[in-house]
Amino acid sequence: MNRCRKIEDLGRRRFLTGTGLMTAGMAVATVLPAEAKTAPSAALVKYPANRLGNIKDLKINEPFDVAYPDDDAPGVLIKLGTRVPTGVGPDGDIVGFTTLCPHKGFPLSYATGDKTLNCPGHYSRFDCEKGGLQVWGHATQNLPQYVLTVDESGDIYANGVDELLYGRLANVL
Amino acid sequence: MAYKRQIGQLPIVPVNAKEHNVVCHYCIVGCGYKAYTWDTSYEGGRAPSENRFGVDLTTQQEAETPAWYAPSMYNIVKQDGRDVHLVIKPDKNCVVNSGLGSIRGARIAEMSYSQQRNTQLQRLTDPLVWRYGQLQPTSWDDALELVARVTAAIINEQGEDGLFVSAYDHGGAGGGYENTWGTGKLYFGAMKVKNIRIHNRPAYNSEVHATRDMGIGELNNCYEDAELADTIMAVGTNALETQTNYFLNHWIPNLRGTSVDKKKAEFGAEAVDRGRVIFVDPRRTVTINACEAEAGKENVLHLAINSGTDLILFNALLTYVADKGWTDKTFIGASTTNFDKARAANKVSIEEAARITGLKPQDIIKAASWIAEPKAAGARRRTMFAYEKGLIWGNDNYRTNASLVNLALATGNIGRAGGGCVRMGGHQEGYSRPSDAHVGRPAAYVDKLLIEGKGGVHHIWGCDHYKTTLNAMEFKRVYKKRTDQVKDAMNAAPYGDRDAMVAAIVDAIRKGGLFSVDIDIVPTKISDAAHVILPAATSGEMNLTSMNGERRMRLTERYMDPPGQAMPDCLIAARIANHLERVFREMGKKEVAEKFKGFDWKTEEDAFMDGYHQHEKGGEFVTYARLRAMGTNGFQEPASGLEPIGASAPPMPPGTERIIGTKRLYTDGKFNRPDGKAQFMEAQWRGLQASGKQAEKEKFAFLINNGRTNHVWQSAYLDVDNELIVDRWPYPFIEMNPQDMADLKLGEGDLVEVFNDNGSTQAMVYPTPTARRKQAFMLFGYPMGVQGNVVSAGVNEFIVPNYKQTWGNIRKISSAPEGTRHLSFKSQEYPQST
Repeated sequence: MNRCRKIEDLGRRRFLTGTGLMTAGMAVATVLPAEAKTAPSAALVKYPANRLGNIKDLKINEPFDVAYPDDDAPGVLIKLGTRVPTGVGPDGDIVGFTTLCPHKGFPLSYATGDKTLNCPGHYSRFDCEKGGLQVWGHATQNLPQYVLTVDESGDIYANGVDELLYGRLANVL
Repeated sequence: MAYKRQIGQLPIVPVNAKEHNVVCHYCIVGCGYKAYTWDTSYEGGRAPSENRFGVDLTTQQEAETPAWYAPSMYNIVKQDGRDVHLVIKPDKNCVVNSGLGSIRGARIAEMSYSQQRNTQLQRLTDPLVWRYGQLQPTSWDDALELVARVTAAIINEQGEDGLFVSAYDHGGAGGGYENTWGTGKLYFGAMKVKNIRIHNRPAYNSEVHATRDMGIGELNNCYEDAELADTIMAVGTNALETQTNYFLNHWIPNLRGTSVDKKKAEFGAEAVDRGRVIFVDPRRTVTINACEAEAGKENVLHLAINSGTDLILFNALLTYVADKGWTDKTFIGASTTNFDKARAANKVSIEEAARITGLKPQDIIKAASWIAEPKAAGARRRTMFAYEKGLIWGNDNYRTNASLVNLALATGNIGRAGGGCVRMGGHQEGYSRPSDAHVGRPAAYVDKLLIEGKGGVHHIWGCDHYKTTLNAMEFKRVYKKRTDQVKDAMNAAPYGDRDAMVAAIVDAIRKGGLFSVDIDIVPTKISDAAHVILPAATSGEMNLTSMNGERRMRLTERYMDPPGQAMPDCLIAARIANHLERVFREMGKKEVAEKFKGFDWKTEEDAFMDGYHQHEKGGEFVTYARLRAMGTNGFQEPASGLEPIGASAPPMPPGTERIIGTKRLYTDGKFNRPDGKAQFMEAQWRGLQASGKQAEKEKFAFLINNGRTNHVWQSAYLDVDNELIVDRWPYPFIEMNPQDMADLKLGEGDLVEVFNDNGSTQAMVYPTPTARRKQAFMLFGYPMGVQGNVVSAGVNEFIVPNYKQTWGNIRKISSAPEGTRHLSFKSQEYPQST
């Protein structure tokens, strides 16, 4: 599979302003306060809206390599050929996922036969037609999926991810 | 759609986080983890100097990095009354799992009690008593006083046989050396309770009586042997799902051929190659698929026997191996007895075994050759035999266990590198109790006695008969009726008048009622019937010791507080003993009261020192301080001594010397019988042994095979409150062949009723093309559809249940309900390249 070069650097790290759950980098306290209380906080980060491709680039049931939210985070777009609840595009059948297994970070490969992403490391399987549901496997998350939109010209944008990506403690580095 | 947490980042473990040793408390493998805790007011930073891992977290980390954790590995919990961040992640330095985390263990943090993040709020926080028609919170003293008064009254009337006990006997969560000693000292020391059973079976017995009778403990090798074996023979075990990281970290390297160098280093000039594996299982599992993917189909032999025919297969293998002269004659002569007699008694031809098992004769011969045919230059083949519930909960447990051990012994594979004949296990082990000899053999069939109206008080420790017993529907019907009698009596007495309350309860018991006391960490199905519920602490909320499937003993350190008033089981047992002592004294029974002395423990460590340290083999060398220092690798039991101070670098301070363990058992050819020799056993085939099984098979259309699955394994009691799991398995699945589904007009996700003369239950249909016709496989022990409802009361001669050989019919209840429509019903097998 060839990495899609069309999207390189498009919007990359455009919104590296996410502050998130805790104040990262805060000086380590050496004296503990009398009563530690947790303030409710957002667990989401601010994602870039990146163009990943155009619907013309996609062929039914063929994975199209992308990266999101930056070049070091490989993923795929797939036009499934059948409408699914999280699908976008005129046919409601375009989905996008990370291709790093959320168990140990091995690269997933797409099985066209049953439209699953599969991990050669430890045999985990994720169903692209069911929002990345782990059919079987070791990951404690279903497969992180992209929040996609398609504009009038058919350009496909990713605007977020619904789970933590493997290998980063913040999805936007 | 699929459950998602909508989490985009996690707090970073700071440099100064506290580190604690953790051993996963779910399954037997006991993977090593580390818990990191730090105050909620701050976190680490992304620069290498600011986080625990010393790495630059502004970059994408590589596969298998220790510098990443999933949202399931994070929580906020209480520690010494303060809110702290908690990260529990796999320990790369643990030799068991080398940093791998299973779908169970990698959720330990998320499955912790957190008021801050609303996880596991089902946990019990206070003692509960039946008051004014419902369970209500109370103090420990109030609840224990009621338990002691009623228990003592019934012992006075019926003797100790009137007290029934259900108690786990294992390690890990709901277990551990501290807690088995606590309950053991109470029921086998202070008392001699006979009507007692274990968590997953209806009597107080061994699941592997035969191997023990033959002089061979069932955990006799080490995990490394799976890397060294020429052949692994796996019987009724689905290791990828139920001993996941043992399989991935120790079997797979052998099947991939990546442990060949290790074999060369260990065995010198002996011919070595990539390992091969034989499976004995009526069902094709994901384990078999993974082995094929790694080793190639030519190195995997699946013997898909007719359900329950393992015994005759093993006898045929022994017969063939002996006829070929492939036995280890030197070993048999020096270290065993009864070989010729057993060989003659168990003699079976390949053809006869093929007829009964449904296998091809050439496949049985192939298996014999993989097991025992000498290698180049006449070197003995090293074969590891591994078995679990397919055998243990299968037909004719005692004899089948014996026939497999016969084969391992005859081929000289016990006490030898690359060998072993071991159960794969369920929980970790953690048994330390006074003698159980008074229980007798066969032990009392406790569930049957309860159904028959016997007993007056029932103490339940971390067990749930409603989900995990046989003949479960009938058990529940009677149990509810008997406990309702007591509830009705309690409803009629004022709670504050203790004398009147105890009198009302005792009167109801005389009329057939049963007083039920449940000790657990969560409400269970059987606790619906309880009159008193006592809240327990689990692993990590207390210090807890256990050993895994290679006898590797470790200490899980306490890293968080138990919920509310919850206490370790050993201390609950001690407090029950304290109250019984007082109550018997008040009754004027001084002699009885005296028996309850010796329970003045204040901590779980006190119980450990009283129990394991004083009573177990090598226990005198084992302390918390030494275990702490040995981290997640611990030592392999039994301990045989201590390394002198200064033997290791850097030298350990006094009190934390390294404990010397035992890598393999029986390497000296001496076994656990009076003459030091292992004994072959006669074990003839006798068909389906348990009463009524053959008739059930003839009457009903489907084999209702049953077992576990990857998502839920020794973790269901917490999984029922975990979104990821309940989303995937809202109901227990039943795997069915698509043609059988078509015949019954069933679609994927449909709810079906499984029924026979024992009872009925429900499951969700999962189309499975590899399932054989008329052979269904249902998830066992799941609360939303209890497979035990349709399992007959039939047991073996030692009251070991037979869950596996169950037959029933299947009919549709409803089309797929809403909660199943988002699910995937695709094959669970990793696609192999063709």
